[in-house]
Amino acid sequence: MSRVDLKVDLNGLTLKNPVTVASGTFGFGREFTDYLDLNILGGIMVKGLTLEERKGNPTPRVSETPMGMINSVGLQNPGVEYFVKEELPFLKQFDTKVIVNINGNTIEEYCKIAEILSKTSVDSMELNISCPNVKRGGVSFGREPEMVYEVTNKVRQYCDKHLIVKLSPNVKDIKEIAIAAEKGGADCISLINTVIGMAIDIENQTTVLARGMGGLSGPAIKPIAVRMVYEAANSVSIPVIGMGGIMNYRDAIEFFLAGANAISIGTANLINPWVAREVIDGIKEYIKTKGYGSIKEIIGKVRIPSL
Amino acid sequence: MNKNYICKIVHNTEITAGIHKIVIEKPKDLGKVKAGQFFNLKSGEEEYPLLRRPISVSIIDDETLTFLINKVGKGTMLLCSKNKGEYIDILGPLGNGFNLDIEKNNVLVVGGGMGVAPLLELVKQLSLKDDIDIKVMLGYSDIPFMVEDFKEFVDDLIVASEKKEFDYKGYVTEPLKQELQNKKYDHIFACGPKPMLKVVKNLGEENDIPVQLLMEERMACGMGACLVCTCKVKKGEDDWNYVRTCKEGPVFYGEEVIFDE
Ligand SMILES: Cc1cc2nc3c(=O)[nH]c(=O)nc-3n(C[C@H](O)[C@H](O)[C@H](O)COP(=O)(O)OP(=O)(O)OC[C@H]3O[C@@H](n4cnc5c(N)ncnc54)[C@H](O)[C@@H]3O)c2cc1C
Ligand SMILES: Cc1cc2nc3c(=O)[nH]c(=O)nc-3n(C[C@H](O)[C@H](O)[C@H](O)COP(=O)(O)O)c2cc1C
Ligand code: FES
Repeated sequence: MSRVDLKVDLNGLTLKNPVTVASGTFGFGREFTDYLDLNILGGIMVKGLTLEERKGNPTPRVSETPMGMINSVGLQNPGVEYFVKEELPFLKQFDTKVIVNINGNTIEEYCKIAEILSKTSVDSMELNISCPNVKRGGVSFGREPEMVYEVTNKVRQYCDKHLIVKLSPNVKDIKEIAIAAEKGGADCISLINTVIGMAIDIENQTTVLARGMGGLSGPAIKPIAVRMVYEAANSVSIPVIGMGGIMNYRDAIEFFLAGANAISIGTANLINPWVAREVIDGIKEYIKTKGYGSIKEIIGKVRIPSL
Repeated sequence: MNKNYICKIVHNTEITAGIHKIVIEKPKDLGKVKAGQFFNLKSGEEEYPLLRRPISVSIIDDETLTFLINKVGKGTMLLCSKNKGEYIDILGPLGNGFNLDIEKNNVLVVGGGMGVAPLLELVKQLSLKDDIDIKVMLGYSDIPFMVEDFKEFVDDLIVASEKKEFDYKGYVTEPLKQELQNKKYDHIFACGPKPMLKVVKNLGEENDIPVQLLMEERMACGMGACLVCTCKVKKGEDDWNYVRTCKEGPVFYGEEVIFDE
């Protein structure tokens, strides 16, 4: 049987296979070496970083929901400088792409981080625009196309690496947001981030999470994610990394068919830390069984029966 | 390298209303498991419920691991409904476990409610040490359980219950206060509800005794990846930090932990 070509080019970033792990669900990779050979991954999106260390939110920070979980970690992270010194050398030992998720409360903060990381060996930056914009009264940067364009465009001037913009699903029209990111200079987009949710403890009549609301992830959001990836992929010409509720290779294939060039596994890592291996093997098998030679042949292949 | 195992259940009984003792075959290549460590258990057959459930190991034998599980929700119900001969998917051992490398040997072990479960292996291991003096104090809201199991390893044991008259009626922290006045202890180990742990921490500080607390927090991965399970601890003189209960804990020294109101 012929070999299956899993390589994908994300507009300047080549992944040996299209399977990455999502920011915030894989730490800085260290915890996973007991379960998984990190060399098999297409890429690792590390925990979201900010300029300064962040302590994060009080607990409870998690609530399980039907086929999902709501988290409010609050971007707890040791800061970008610490990452570069203490975590990056570890990650660079592996034959995989290191993609750094960057976060800020102001455009200046985003730019500063991009500038710092441009001087390091990271392979790509993933701009998380779900953060609150303090200058606009805490509304997320990712909410309005104008703000998405502005932050992407500014960061682009400081980022000498491959740049991914990660879209929030908590928006009116994902197509406009995707287009704004492309126009702003993104090399690639990734989506979706978590869907804002809330859970209430009816005994105590309080929210389950100390902070009230949080981000819903897991299989519960998969249909929303697939739809948004489909819409975004059909609106822009840059590549798309799809994510949201991927638990196995079948879920991953849905995203490729919807138009994703690569995928990212999030919550599933928290349940089966070796799941990425199973997804990679499953994708390979699917491609073979369907008689294709490469992953590229199925990207965006979905047909809508009535159209 | 792997820490994931599918283990056969060799025994499952309800030891008291709502609490099951589940014994599973211990995987041959499982590394050393320490008292106070836990496993993250898959409760459903397929993907539901989504997250694993953290459960402390209660007894570690050559051939088996024993868990005590309180049915409080869907995950623990499902786990307890599994029959002998069926299998459980476990991840672990996880967390740090108790530090048994203690110098002096007048030891007090305090448990409250389901918190008594992980203390059994601890007491077993402590009882194997030379020149050790162990007193166990167990507190329950109602009917005591596992008392006989503890008596296998220690003679000096008292039982407190809020509802029934045993050795003491009320919170276990009351006879604990008394005990600390009567005798000088070198070390306290405790597991139980947060309010109890807070009292134990304070008593430890007042009496200048090191305290090890096994803390509970809501978890997802249980292996240090997601940062949802944090515990607030002291950092230097006047700063604090959130650390992972599943990785840096679940056992913390009382002097480290900051209990918020
Ligand atoms: C380190 C550690 C050790 C534990 N050891 C034991 C043990 O030996 N025996 C035992 O009976 N229980 C133990 N628990 C508590 C046990 O994990 C919870 O009771 C269980 O997860 C509840 O799941 P559920 O689906 O039945 O309840 P649900 O309320 O339906 O659970 C909903 C969600 O909340 C989480 N959750 C609910 N209560 C708790 C809790 N008290 N602690 C942590 N997460 C919770 C669940 O994991 C799940 O994600 C331990 C918890 C921790 C953190
Ligand atoms: C615990 C947790 C922490 C997360 N932290 C981040 C983060 O720091 N930055 C970010 O862009 N996304 C973060 N995410 C979102 C994920 O990267 C991903 O976009 C989302 O969870 C959807 O994928 P999933 O359903 O497969 O988890 C986090 C998700 C979870 C569950
Ligand atoms: S539960 Fe994920 S870090 Fe502790």
